[in-house]
Amino acid sequence: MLSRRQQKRISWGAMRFLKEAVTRRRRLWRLTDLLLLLLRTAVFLFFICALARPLLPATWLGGATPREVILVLDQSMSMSRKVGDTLLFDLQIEQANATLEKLTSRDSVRIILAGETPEWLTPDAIEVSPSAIRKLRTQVDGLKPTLGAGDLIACVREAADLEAPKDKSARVIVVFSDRQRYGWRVDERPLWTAVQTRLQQAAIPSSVNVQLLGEGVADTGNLCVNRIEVARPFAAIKQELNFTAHVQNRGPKPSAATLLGWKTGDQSLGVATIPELAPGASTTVSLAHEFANAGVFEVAGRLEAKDALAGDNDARVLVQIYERLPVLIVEDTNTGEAIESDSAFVLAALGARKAGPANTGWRSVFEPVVIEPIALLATDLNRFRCIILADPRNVEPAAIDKLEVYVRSGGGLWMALGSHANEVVFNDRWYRGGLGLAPLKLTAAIGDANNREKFFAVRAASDAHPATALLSDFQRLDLDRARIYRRYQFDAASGNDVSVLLEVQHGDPVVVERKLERGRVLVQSIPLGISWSSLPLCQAYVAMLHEWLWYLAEPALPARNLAVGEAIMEAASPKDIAELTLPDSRMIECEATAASGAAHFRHVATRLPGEYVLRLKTKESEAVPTRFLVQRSTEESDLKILSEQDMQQIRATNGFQIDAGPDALAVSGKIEVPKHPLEGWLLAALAFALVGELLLAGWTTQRRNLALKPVAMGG
Amino acid sequence: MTTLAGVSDVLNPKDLARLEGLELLASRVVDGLLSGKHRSQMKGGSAEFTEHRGYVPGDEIRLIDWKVFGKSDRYFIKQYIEQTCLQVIVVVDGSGSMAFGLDDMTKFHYARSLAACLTRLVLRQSDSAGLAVLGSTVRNYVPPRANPNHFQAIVRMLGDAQPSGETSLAQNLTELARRIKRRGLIVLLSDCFDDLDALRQALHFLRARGHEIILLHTMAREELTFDFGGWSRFDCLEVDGTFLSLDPGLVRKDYLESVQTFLNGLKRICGETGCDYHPLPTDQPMGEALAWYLQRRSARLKQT
Repeated sequence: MLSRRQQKRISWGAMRFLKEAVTRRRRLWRLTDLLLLLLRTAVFLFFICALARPLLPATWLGGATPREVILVLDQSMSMSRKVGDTLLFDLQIEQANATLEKLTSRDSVRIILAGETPEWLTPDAIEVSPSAIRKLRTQVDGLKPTLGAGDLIACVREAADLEAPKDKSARVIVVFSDRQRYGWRVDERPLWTAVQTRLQQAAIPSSVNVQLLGEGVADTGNLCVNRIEVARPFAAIKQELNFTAHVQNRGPKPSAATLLGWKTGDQSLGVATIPELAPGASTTVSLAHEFANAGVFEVAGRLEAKDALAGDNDARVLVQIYERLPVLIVEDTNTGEAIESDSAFVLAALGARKAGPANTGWRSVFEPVVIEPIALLATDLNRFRCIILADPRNVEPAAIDKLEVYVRSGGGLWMALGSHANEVVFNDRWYRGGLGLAPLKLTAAIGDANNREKFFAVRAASDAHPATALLSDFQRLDLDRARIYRRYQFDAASGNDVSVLLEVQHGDPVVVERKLERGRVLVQSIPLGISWSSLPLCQAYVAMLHEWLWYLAEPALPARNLAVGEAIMEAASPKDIAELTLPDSRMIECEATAASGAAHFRHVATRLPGEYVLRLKTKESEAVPTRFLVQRSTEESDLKILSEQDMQQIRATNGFQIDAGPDALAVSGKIEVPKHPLEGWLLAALAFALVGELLLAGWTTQRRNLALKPVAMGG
Repeated sequence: MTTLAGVSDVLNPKDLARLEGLELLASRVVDGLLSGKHRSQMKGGSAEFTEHRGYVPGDEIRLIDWKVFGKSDRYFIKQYIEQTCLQVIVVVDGSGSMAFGLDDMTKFHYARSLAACLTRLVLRQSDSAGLAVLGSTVRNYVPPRANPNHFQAIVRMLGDAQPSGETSLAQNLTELARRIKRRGLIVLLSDCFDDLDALRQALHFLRARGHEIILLHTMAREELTFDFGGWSRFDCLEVDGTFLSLDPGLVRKDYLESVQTFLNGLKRICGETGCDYHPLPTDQPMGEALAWYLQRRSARLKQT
């Protein structure tokens, strides 16, 4: 522009050649000039606009409303039913993939799996792109139905709880369901109200579109094994265990009679007959079995009849059989008669073989070791499943602290008080105002040990308590014949959460229990010998001793049968590494962590019912697998579908829509389109325009300054 | 050398000195009334033998070649080319485009000086010299004379002539050809910025009338290099009010290509019509360039 104003004037003769050249170049000049004009104008405009910091509705950029789409996939056992030859679950995957394909590039997507508890397949929102969708589809195609329930409404709540993404205008939660009523929890009105409130109060309009599957699913009834119960999932070799299978007809029609086969591993244990059951009716069948070897054994009960839901036709339970469980007995050295020693009765009850070599053979699984109280500090307590304090005279405070650590980490402590006990010392060291190991405050002893005419009769306080269930059976045991001549008294008002195991006739507690973190403490107000009572002379004494030792040892024994969500724990050495295989074949690595003085592998996310296998990674040898069973929810077997009334209730919930069909991704509610700041784009465009202008101007300059030879006239 | 008052602006003594001893010869036969150094189309008694022919009654006895008779016993007549004086007409293009010239003199001044030198050279070798200045028509015309005093008339006309306006070179040459009765040598001093097809026809026409044509093509250096910088306005020298405002660098390539095409076409036309083409860029010293051309021409004619 400037150079045009300062142009030179030249009187020119060869105008015809100039005109020819101009005519030839005019079109290119015009194009170049126009481009330069446009670029320079654009630079100016972009600069001005960037200074103004404009905001643009997100839809202007892409056309579609940017949504966050959350797919809720039902992974429950009921999805393993078939419609024709196709699994309901496969139908669901097909529809989910179709929904994924419909997403636009402005959407983001998350997938949550509805199991016993919600689990995010994609914890973070994934911006939609062809590659992301391909990857997601691969993930979705790899899913399988589980043995668990599907808590759909919990998934909706979890999805609604998510913080609204700033760049999205709406949230659409697409729930796939097989119409099973259980997963929707329609009777829990407070839960539904909470979900509705969350949807309404969401920062962006949120809606729930329910896609119902399974119309025409085969209804061939459902006879299921709800569970197999065993009183205690661990025992000694040759100890009889009683298994009870609970069978229920969950179908709408009466079930035909069938058989239930018992198995352990590949070995059949027998067959039981299941009679015809009316809809909703249940029955139980039992099996008594003892194991000849130590180890972990699976006992399974499987129905022979086939029905709509194959997953609940069997149930399993793991039992652990022990050969030896070490027990520590702490007692002062007895200088008198053996009959005055409490431990002698305990040892006798545990089956000491007097004739055996070195007196080490025990009939019982419990293998006792007797030490004096002074040796407590030097003894590794973690070796023992439980500890019996048989009326020790003096236990040092440091030893008491050590015992407390032992109990808190899952150990069992049984204190028997006798003539060596002193209520003042006891309350000071063991009770400690309710903070010590003792559950109740002790008061003075009553009764006369030498007067056998006056006594207290004793009984089990409850037949529901696992430690006294057997003792309360007077048909089998003779606890009612036991006499207590002297005993300490407990101040019943001095403690909370205390269980009474044994009591005298008028209700005063004799044996009390408290749970301290993972461990258990039993305190009995009489000694274990016969000095104050005739209990050791009863048959029930042996049973009581075993029952209570099992009861005390139980917290430290690995729990093989777990409920969903219960943690898997297995003792280990510090820094051991193990590999845990989940029921869906996924493998995760665990590292042993130390807590309360002992190291454990710990896995808390037992979301899926089924078998978990823990393999220790050892350098020396092949890893030894340890099995755990997470039991399935019996309610998932209830195939009752949503009634019309339930559907209306769901429809009536704000934000919910059922069977929207192709509009499953439609956004409902008033949408406030987010606005994007444009200055970044404008500055980028400015930079591009500047670069373009420079390139074009450079090209023009280069053309202008081309080194050309002048024309030679020749001769 | 005769002093020529009032014509110092058209003649440079240095250029004249450079042309001392040179002569302008015709390469073809010409018509002339006087005996001179140029070959006439009239055959007859002269110094230069041409051919023999058989004797016929009525021929002069003195023209019989007795030597041939002695050898062949037959009568033959010797024939000679008659040499006559040359009629040279210098044609100066007076169109507006000839007024161009930035660093050097304008093309018209260059052509004017050339014309003066040539006419003086012709008159000094006792040939007839004439002058035509072409504008939109044959603007000025001085018929050829052999009289040395005729040079003043020519120089005066050259001094008075100014280039202007648009001209059709071809049309003017055709018109001029009709005015010239005798065949002779036509020296055209022009930039030839005209339609080449029309120019070809005009040159054909002149050649058909027996004229020999020398085209001394004058162009300015700037027209051959076009090395202007910065935005410029080019005012047309031939048509008032016509101009082009442009960046010369952007059209330089295309302009030079057009000029090259034009020059190639012009040379081709000269070749086709038998014209003697010689380029004379105005940045060459006029005397030297003309001397070099005349020397080369003389040498070429002597070879033939």
